[in-house]
Amino acid sequence: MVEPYKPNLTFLIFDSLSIPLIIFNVAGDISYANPAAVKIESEAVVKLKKSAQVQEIIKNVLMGKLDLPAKMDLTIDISKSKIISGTFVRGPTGVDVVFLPEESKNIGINQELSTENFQVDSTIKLIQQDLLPSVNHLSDQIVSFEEKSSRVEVTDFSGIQSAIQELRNRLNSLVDLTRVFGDELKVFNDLMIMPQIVDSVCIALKPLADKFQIQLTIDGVTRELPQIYGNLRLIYRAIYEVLHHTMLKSREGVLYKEWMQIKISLMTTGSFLNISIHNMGAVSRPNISRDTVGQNQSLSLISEKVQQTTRIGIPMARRIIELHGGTMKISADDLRGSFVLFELPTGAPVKPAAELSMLQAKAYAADMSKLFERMRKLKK
Amino acid sequence: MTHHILVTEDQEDIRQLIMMTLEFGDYILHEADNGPDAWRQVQNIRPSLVLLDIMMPGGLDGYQICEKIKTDALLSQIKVILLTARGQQSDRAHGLKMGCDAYLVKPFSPLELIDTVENLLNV
Repeated sequence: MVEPYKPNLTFLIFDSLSIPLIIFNVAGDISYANPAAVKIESEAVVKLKKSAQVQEIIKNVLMGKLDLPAKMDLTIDISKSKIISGTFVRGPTGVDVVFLPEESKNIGINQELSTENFQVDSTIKLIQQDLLPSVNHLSDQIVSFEEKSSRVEVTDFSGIQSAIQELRNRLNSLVDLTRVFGDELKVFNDLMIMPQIVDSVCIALKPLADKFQIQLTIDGVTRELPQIYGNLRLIYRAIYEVLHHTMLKSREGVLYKEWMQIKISLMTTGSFLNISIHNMGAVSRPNISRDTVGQNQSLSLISEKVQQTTRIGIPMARRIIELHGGTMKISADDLRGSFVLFELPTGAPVKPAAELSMLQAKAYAADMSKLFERMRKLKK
Repeated sequence: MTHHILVTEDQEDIRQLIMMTLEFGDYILHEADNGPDAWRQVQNIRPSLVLLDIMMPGGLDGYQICEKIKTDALLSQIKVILLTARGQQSDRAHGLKMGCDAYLVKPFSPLELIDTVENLLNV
């Protein structure tokens, strides 16, 4: 029987990265090079296809003689003494190894990432942790569907549809993350009424909240809250990601029968609007039991879902808030639960004042003669 | 009757241009460069007209001051012109919702400014 074609979604994601990335299999051969690597490090991609040096490195990794990540210089051309420096990190499947050329630091999104201590290997880690559960979930759904459909006629596609939707959300996160760190979305022109945005996020996450038995409450919404100016879509995204993250985290190790409460508060402090997302814990205290995880069948369901907690969302949210001149702080302890605080500057964004003055002066110059004419008439 | 006009604009050069333009008329001019100061002067002076820049520092922007004026029984007769660098329809709609009497998008013509002020004050 011919196996149905299943595209490797992780590689599709790597394809979209502007960071050169080469993956070696256990034999030390190149199993994949993304388009950025082919374009920027084309010689390395050709020369490292069958490299004895790389094969030796991979062998040492597999034998546990070399710990990853490991910085290495690979010889591309002995006659020209040409080398390529880079870092080997663990690959997406766990047995393959990824090589990240150092030259990638000078291009595209990576320039921003590195300045923000957001290294390439952490990007790989984020992709692994954030996307692989969704990919695996979809894959499991397809396998289960195939098995079931070989026995009976299956008409319910909801499992696959939901898995696709989840993966789509994750991919959108990755695209936004790339854009945010690539400075593509620095548009601070929208008038944002935060209570409306927070409300929209809560509505969007309501189905998940109900499913996870989480009560979302909004506190401090008044007409006195100042407006914020910025990128509406990005701010929505930041709040969505953090609330989503908090929701998933709130159920870790908590009995399913407990209803959890997450409170979102808005208040003005000086020239900042503060938005806090506070995991208040179980609504009916104190039956939270972290020790009983695994003793109840229903808890495993929660654990599986919690594993899908987004990791891309948090650095992305932080970056979005920073791009708007604000800060994002996260704190957590067993007594207070987790607490995320956004501080966003209110009032005017940084205006292109010089440009505006110039345009205003031009407008005045154009009408100056008419203005003086009017003044003369007034004086008469 | 001589009208009092409050010009609220955080960019000094643009504020001065507006002041210079309005000096052609028979007005008593006041100025503010931030939201809280503007609101204080509105309450103290009770001008006939306020020119309000929407985006201002101080945690109180033009929209909010406009809404405060229009919802205060003692101040609601004050004419409000919102000045903005934002020409989007949504911003204009929001300004009108807050009760502003006119809306000027920067860069605006000095003649447009004078005409708008004169129309609102019936001079």
